[in-house]
Amino acid sequence: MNYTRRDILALSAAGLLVPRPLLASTPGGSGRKFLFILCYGGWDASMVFAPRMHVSSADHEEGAEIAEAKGITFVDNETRPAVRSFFETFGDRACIVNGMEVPSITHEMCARVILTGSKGTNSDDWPSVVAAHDESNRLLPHLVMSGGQAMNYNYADKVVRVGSAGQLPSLLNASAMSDSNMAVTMPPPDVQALEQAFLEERIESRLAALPSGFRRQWLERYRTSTQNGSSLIDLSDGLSLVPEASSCGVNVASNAKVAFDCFEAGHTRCAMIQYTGFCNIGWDTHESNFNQVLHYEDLFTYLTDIMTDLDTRPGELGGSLADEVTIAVFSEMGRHPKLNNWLGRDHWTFTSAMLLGSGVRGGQSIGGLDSAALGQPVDLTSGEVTDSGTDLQAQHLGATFLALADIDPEPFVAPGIQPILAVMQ
Amino acid sequence: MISLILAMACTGGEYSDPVAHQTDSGQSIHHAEGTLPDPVPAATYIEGDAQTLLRRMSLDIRGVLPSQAERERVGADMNLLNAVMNEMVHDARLEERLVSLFAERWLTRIDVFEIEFHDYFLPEEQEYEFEKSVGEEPLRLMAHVVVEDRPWTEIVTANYTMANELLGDLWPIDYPDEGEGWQPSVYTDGRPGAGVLTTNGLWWRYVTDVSNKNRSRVAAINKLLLCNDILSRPVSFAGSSSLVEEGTESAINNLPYCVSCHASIEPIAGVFFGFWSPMQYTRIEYERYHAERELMWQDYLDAEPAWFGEPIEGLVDLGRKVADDSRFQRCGVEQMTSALWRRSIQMNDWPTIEALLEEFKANELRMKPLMVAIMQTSPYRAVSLAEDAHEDTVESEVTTRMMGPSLFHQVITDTFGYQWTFQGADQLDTDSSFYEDRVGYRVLMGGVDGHSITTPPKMPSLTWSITVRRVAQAAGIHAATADLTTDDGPGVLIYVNESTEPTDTQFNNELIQLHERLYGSTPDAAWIESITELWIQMERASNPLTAWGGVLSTMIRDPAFMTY
Repeated sequence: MNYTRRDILALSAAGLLVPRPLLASTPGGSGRKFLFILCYGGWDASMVFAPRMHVSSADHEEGAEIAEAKGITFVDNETRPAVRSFFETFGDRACIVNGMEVPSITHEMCARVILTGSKGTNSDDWPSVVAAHDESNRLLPHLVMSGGQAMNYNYADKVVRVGSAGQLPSLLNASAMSDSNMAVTMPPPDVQALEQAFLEERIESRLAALPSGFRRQWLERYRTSTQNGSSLIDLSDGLSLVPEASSCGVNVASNAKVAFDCFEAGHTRCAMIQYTGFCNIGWDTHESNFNQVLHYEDLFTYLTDIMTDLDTRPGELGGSLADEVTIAVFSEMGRHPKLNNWLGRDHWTFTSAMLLGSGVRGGQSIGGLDSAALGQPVDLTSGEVTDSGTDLQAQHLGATFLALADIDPEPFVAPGIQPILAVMQ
Repeated sequence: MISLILAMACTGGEYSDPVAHQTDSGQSIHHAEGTLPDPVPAATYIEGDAQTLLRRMSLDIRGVLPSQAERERVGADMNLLNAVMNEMVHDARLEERLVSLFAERWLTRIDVFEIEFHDYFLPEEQEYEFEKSVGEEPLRLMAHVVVEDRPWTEIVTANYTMANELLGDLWPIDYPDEGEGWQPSVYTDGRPGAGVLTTNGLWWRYVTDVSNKNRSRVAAINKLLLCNDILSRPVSFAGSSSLVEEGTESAINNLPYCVSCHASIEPIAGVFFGFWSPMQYTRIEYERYHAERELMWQDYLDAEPAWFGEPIEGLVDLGRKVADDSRFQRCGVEQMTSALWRRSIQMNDWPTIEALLEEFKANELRMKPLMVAIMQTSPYRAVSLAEDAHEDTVESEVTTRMMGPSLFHQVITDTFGYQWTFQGADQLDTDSSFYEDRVGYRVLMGGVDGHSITTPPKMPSLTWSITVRRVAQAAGIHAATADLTTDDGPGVLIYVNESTEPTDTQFNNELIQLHERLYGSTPDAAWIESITELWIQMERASNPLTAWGGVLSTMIRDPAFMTY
């Protein structure tokens, strides 16, 4: 069990008005938005996604049984009614991918691999890649909600962190500067506007004289970031970037609501939420693995709220927002088939992921575990388990994200890695 | 968050990493899957002029802008620049900069340790000081070794640590009675002395648990001291069909692909049991060394303590072995070079690294001469690349450096007298707080917090720009107010007062001195004209004081100030 001791760090509310911008109407994958929910700490996929009852040497959960709802095969237990309810309601829009290996057993490295496909620090995570290839100049291309992770090399400028405690609005409205031992009054708006205009002119004149290279690239990104920052400040009056405070832990649904608001307004292409379990107790259950029951119930209650919320919203392109948003729920690692001495489970390299919504061929579970609890090879096109299939890696999942966004995955994954076409409509 | 390091298929296996491989330092090298890259042709570096490099060196080494006297002394003479450079590494302000630079690599400046300030019944006003002190302990020790011009090996052999008044109060440390600030101090709980290897600060950051059995700490010292990132090796369970039945601990000792890594991990893990605790989040367990547990490796690990095959007896012996390891020396060179070049070490840097290593050895492994040598390399001095530079070099070379939160805070404080602090916390040096009414902005400005950001960004982001804007505006109005309305301002505005008109000579002189001081170069007429016009417009919209604040803010936000 891994309690973070900052559970009480609540999120404060603040206001930002972000009006609906003008955006190019781009149908299909290039107009698709993505909400990523990382269950950091390592979930026990065998409790919901990847049945492991056939692994004779594993320690099995009491009361667990295989069930099916709307095409989804899942592990049911009367202790997790929210999970069953979710699949009974939304199973036909969900696709589960099982038996995917993340080749490390440390959280930090596994998170890097599942988010970027690589162990190197010279890679960007999938949401940043998607945001960077967006043709629209969005103010908040990849919105990282409080506490969320973002890993960047080339596309750090596409990432907008709200802050671990939702600090961004305090910067936008400048209250951060009055919360200071040397409080000062900010210049009046017209003076700030003069300052901004002068700065932009200076950047432009420098760019005009600069050849290509790092310096020019830096200036171009500064121009974009300072212009977008200025626009965001000007618009900071109505739409909150900070989710409603939760009494305990991360309220995934209210975080998603903020992301959806930004999707709707056209400001955001991707958003990341990090969910650390019920009351932030943590998924890393080296002790007391039964706590995962709490986490899954909490998570699937939130997911039900999220899908319901999504269905009520208008999309950026005229239809429903549900038609435009893909949701990915995943964890950086799985948990060992056997219980340890503390009734916990240690790390396991095989994990699962669940994709929902736009572009996803729902009502199916792809892949699985063999009798040794190792991932089984999968035909990427049909999704069938077959000896001639492909061993699933995090890169396959990443390639699928990119394909769903109409981005050629090839530059971002190892040679030969293909999207899991079976996931896609 | 602790992981069991079960390294299967360490030598390769089925897993293929798409775009990145690591150098020894854990940094990245681009090359195609499965092949070593061809050496990248050396770029033709275009080096900066003396004033540009003076500014760069001063910021890198001291965290402040060069003084007017230094600017005048150097002029355009590169030989004089080198003389000033040699003096800079003996400046007292080097220590703070080193702590910041080491923090980017060692990642110990986190906001949340498993033991918190309230475990010591400290008031909330001391939360930041507590977290900063704990995280800086090993960094201060390393900085002390450098500042005192001691051999780098002392960071793993010193029989002392560094402590401030707070740590002296909280921990079993014999802090000097008349001491002030960070001082060499000695633990009194019977722990051996092996430099950073026996500091609470390091092991509170790199924690372990009952399953992990100190293996995470072995990974940490491999990465931090040897530039050997064992966690970057692929760990695949695929193909090991007996793993569940066999059990993890058994697999570590018996399955060949596990043994290939764990054969060296387990024996090193064995020497850390004095820092090992069966109970997490327990203050008394964490703050004291437990000599009585040193032999617990016999119960928990099936391997006698050894350093890559050579038997060792405890942490002091471990420190000596690390110090004698050639990888440690090279790693020290790589880390310092990477810190000053502001980029990762690439494959084509190796000849330069070799030369710097020889310099390091020739100077008895002292860091100051190494820093001077690094500042004379072309990658350090480059402000651009020739047109025929290889595309890989163009892609990787950092020809302009961006101020991160630590440096920005230091420069703003020194130059404008403005300190963005709240309840004692430097707002650019922290992020979260146990109490919700105080939060910081380090990560929003791209600062390394040890968790969500582990490498300083090279490019500006939206939140970097907004943070710069807000701090610049606050610093500008603060400095203008203090200089124009009091006698004890920071001295940024030295010629004008509230009634000075743009037509006055003092006005023009002020703009020239500001440009020279903040940017390190003399302004042209066009800039003077445009900034004068800006002041006039701002003054019309407000008043002279606000206009000067606006001019200062504008100049801070200018790329000429924020880059170096």
